[in-house]
Amino acid sequence: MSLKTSYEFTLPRGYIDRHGALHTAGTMRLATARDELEPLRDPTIQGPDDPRLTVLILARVVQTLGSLEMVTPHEIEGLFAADLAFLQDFYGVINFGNQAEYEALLAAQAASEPLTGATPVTTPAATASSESRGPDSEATSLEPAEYSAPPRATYRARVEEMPRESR
Amino acid sequence: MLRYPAEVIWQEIAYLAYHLHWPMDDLLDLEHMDRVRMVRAVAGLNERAWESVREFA
Repeated sequence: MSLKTSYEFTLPRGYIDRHGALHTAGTMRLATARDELEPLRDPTIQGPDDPRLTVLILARVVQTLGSLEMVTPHEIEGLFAADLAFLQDFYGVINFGNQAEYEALLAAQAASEPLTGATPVTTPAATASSESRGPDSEATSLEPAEYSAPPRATYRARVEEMPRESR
Repeated sequence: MLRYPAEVIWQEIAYLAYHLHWPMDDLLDLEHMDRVRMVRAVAGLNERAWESVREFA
């Protein structure tokens, strides 16, 4: 349908493709019901708590990233953890947040140290792995040094917490 | 990552389908907040319709 809205972002660290090129600037469109329902039917997805669900959803809504021809789950899985965490926060804010939360996220990113060029302290994220961070951790969550993979049992905490205020 | 509860998505789509008779594909492709706006708008129309029914009952 029409009315598709998209937002520009800049990854804190950037995606490095197999030729070594860095891709940091991109666009993400707002999500639809289809974007969240169809990945649930993917045969590789174990259930609504499967951390890979996040990867599939992000691959659908991230429209462009640097000069990549297309963004697939492969690229999303190959992101550094800090970048994946940023995209997850960005998704939540543009879809479900207000203008103040959107600006707070961008301000937090601008205030954090530039990550590109630094020695990687994390390996590229194999799967979505940052669901346990709280919403109030945005100010510091983009620092890779602060990042540590949460135990699997905590994935539930950040999933499906949209308040039912739409009735 | 924050997601819209799947069960609530289905309820909202069913509500809109029931009242608007739009094709399923169109409802699935509404952005989340557009879908919420439509649910609220239809609920408002329903409320007004019921008010006039009660008025003349």
